[in-house]
Amino acid sequence: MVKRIIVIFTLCILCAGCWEKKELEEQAYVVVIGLDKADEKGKIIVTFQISNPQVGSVQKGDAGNESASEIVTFKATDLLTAREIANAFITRDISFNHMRNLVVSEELAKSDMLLRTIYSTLRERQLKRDIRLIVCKEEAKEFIRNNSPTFETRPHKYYQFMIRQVTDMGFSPTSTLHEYFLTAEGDADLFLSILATTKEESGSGDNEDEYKAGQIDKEGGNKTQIMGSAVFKEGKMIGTITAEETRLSYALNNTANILKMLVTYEDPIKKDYRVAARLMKTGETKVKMNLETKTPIIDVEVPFSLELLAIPSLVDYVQNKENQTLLKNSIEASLEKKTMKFIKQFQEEYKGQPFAWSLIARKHFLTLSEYKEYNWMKTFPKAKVNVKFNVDITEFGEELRTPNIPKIKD
Amino acid sequence: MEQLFGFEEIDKQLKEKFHYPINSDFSYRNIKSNDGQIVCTIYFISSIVDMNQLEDNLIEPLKQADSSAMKEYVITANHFNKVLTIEQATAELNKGSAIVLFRDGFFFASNAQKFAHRSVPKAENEPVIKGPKEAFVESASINKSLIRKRIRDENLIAETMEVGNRSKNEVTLMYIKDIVNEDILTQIREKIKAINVDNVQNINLLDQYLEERRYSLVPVNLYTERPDRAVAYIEEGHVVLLMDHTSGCLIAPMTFWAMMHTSEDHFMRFWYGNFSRFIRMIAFFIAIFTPAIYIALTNYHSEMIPPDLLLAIAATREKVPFPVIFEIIIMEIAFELLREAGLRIPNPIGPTIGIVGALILGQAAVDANIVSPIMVIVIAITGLSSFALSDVSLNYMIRMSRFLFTFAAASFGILGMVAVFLFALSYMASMKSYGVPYFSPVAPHYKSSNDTFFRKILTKETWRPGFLKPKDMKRKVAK
Repeated sequence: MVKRIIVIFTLCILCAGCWEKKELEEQAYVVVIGLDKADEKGKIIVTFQISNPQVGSVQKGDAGNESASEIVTFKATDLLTAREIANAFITRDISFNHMRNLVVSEELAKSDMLLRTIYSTLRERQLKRDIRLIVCKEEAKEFIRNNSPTFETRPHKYYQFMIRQVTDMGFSPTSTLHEYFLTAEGDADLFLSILATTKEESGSGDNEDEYKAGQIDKEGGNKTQIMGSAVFKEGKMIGTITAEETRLSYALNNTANILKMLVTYEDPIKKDYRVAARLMKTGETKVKMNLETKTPIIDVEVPFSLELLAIPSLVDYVQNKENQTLLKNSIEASLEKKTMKFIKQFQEEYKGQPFAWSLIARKHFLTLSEYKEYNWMKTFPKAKVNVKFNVDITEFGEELRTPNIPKIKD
Repeated sequence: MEQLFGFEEIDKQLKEKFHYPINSDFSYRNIKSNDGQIVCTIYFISSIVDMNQLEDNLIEPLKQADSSAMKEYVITANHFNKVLTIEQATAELNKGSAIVLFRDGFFFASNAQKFAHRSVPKAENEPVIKGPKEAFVESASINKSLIRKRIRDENLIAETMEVGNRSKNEVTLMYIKDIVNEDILTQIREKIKAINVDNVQNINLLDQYLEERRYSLVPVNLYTERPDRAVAYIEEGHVVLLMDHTSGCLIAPMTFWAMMHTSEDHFMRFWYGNFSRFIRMIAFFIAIFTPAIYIALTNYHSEMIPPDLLLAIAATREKVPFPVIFEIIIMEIAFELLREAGLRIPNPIGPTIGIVGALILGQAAVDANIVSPIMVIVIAITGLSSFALSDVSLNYMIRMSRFLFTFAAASFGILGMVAVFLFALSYMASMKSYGVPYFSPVAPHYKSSNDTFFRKILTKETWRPGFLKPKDMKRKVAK
């Protein structure tokens, strides 16, 4: 009897098992999704880039001449039904489990359709909140098809490496869907997303980070460029900023990671040359607000340490204290000037700020209703912002002496 | 000394009892004294007595003595037991004594036994790099001496009990009188007394008679072949059981940790010993969970696998016709076959196992698209890890429970695995070995030297394990 009960019990348990069991090779893994605006209202054009596991992963399962991914584009009302429709021409179960990149065309990002579309994805278990939002200047389907990196055979690898690089450098923000929702719902800050393109255009800047995607004049390599960011307000895109401005907004933002960046500055003694230095944010940005007055006053202090790397002008900034102070002051001044201009642009043009300062502002209110009444988004453009940079020159690379060129020429 | 029968009667009875002359082992010799008279007869079983000893200590002196002094000699010699009845005489003969029977019906037993056994061998199943290489043999008396030479203490007691109704085998309990807890000792004695069978051949059978949960996967007595290990446990207050005919001993009570330890952990320096313990702990978990985790991840939680690995697995599985669970079962069975075959195979053809195994498991199965290469890795690392745990019981326990975990993971993913793990953990936590909780001193907590996952420095191991409730808790004075 006992044996019988055990057998029946085990069988019952086993019969209840194996739900949603799917073998790996029975699924098609979408790695990138592209979204474009459709002509009809309430519809979008969806592009799936599906990884082919047999290409570029292992030798054992290699499949001759198949391509590394399959790209399909079609019209749908939302992502989830799109997944169903796609099964008409894709043999396997479509899985979003490894989808980490959402490419959105600028056109769609500027309409209200983006927020609606992305909100609907929230309900799907397979779509994670750490998906990166990438805004491209052309149509997303075009962007995905044009992107052909030489090194990375498999598409997900390209995005993984590329996004890690640009976010490490601070060229582009981290730009996850989670942050997008947070800022859209909080309605107090602006959201920055990654800006990318495969179309080259004429550049505007002339130094290392004063570019937006597509403006770098290069030869060879992959056409895709990722640089700068798109600015979103209330879930809609309203403009773009350069990589340099993205870095500055990092410096003012306490929720972002500590930043490390290599930048050049005008040499204060020989103005034709520029000094290259690695800047590191050494602590929290101090933001002091006075919200009692009619025009709120915001004092910002950013601590930086600086490592001198290249001095093409060969001026002695290392052993000569006076020169060093000169350099320090000029770097601080240029940083402050740029930042003030950049904040002013945000106040006038975009009427908001992407530095997550609303979090700091919140602490000045006792209750939520008071804070809502104050309406931070509306009052920030009126605020007077003073920015101060404290730069410590701490290291000088491996070489202390500056060579003496006239002596070499003898 | 009253004798019941005369010489002829006793002679006849002894020969009948031992089925003389069919039984060629049974022999007797008549002893003539100096004056040429036959005065006594010596009976013995030739295969279990030491003939040299008999010649030197018994037959020669008897021949030298004259007939009147003979009895005198026999009575005063030290290795003689007086025997009163025929039953006693047969029992003595069975033990390997020689019976000396005088013409007037007096008879005595002389101890000259010599059972064949090996000399002290090297420990083969629990080898160490640093430390004694001795192991127990199939003779309890030699095993006793191996233990006693390590503990020179008058309180070390070797208590013998008889077990078995037909063949009376001796069980020896060794413990230190002023450390061991009496309750545990009584429990062990009671259990041995309660065994009611004809013959308990050796300690491994005794082990099975002693345990309470006979269907359980978990042992309650620790088996070891190393005297140094046995001694370490005796000094903590455990009891060691010895028997003839097994090259090992039982240690009772035991805890889960004992299976994870080796004697070398304490012979090595603090860091080295703990490092090897750490590796074994990892091996334990790898051996139990790897196949289960693999199947759970690939069938239910593919989002947990990094994309590169996922694509690699998917690519290699592309041409494999079986579901993952079937792959695992094929490979596990193949591996277990190899193991069993390797154990049973006669030495001269041993190397073929490796060749066949490597070819079947590694290359051919993958090339034939029967299993994916990743599965080979999973099974290989699982097998390797199970070899790192030297305790035989633990080894079987892990190998069998691995299947349980695999099936749970195959039908419910990680959820099923966790459920079975919780069940196993609760079961083991509820286990007791002679009243000692299985996971003590960790759960429930007892005062002890905390020799569980890791060990301490020797000078800090000041307490004997509290779960044994020893009479003397303090082991040494802390520095």
